[in-house]
Amino acid sequence: MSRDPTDLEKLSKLDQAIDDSILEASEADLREDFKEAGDDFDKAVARAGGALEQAKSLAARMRFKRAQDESKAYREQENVKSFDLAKARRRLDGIRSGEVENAMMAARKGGKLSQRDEENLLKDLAQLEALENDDKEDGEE
Amino acid sequence: MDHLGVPPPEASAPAPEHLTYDEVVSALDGLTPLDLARLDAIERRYLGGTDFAEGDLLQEAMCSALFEEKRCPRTTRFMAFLVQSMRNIAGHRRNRLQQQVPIEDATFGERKKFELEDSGPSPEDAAIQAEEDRRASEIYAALNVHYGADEEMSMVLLGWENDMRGEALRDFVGVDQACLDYVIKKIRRIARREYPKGWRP
Repeated sequence: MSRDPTDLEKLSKLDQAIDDSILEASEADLREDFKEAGDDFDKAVARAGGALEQAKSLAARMRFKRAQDESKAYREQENVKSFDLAKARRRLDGIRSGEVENAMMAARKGGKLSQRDEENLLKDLAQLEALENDDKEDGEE
Repeated sequence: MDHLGVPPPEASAPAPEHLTYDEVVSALDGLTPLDLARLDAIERRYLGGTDFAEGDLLQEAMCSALFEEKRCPRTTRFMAFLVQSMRNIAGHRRNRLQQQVPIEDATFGERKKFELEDSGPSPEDAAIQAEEDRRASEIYAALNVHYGADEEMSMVLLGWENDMRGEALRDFVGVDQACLDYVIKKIRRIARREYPKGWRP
């Protein structure tokens, strides 16, 4: 058996129905509504239009800030990448000159690598460097 | 803008269930002066009990759509979505303000404000709810002084209580559309006259 709605529930439904009636009201009716309440339709349009412009302006600023942050984060990531590659190049030079120990035989004899081989090797060394750094950090924890 | 009027994005993948940012911008840009006046009229009905100035609540609702904090389902009219957002935002603000209860600080003898934790019902929540129920009964009785004497208005209210709209409501009240529109207009204007910023404290 369903209970009778409370006054709060009745008011809530009244609110929704009045909102719906405003959404469906003609311009002439709304103009009358505003006038009867001592207000003005055109002023209402200007007020709501102002809120709309403010909202769009805030959203545009927020999106610009987000894009700036993303761009900054990307640039920082790129810096890290080039730093790692520079370090890897020094390591490769060391391997070639025999200054670095524990290098693979193939790498130590790799004096005649193609440009592409060398680039790939640099990337591998940079990744290796990163893994070694991770291992060190894990060991320190 | 009576309907959404925003085509789904052209793509082979199915359109998302909610409007995208660009579609929200497009829907906002498509609001007509009549739409804006309607939103202004509805906004003021929910300002009561909040600290929003005129225009702020509507701006919040628009921002929450643009920031994608609240997302408009494709099946919902954009205007109805904005109205529901305003109701929700005003309700949350009202609750938050009501829960800022001043208490007596016994040690220092001064009044402080604090915010209650938002976890489950508490005696304070129950007290607030009871107060809201009591006030709703008062308001409803006050409005009934105006509505109750008119048989057609009473019938419309009863129909609304049962979620009737349009043809169903017209048949229930037993009047033609022009008469129904007139009765609804009277109800709306009485509500605005008695409670310009809504009935909530």
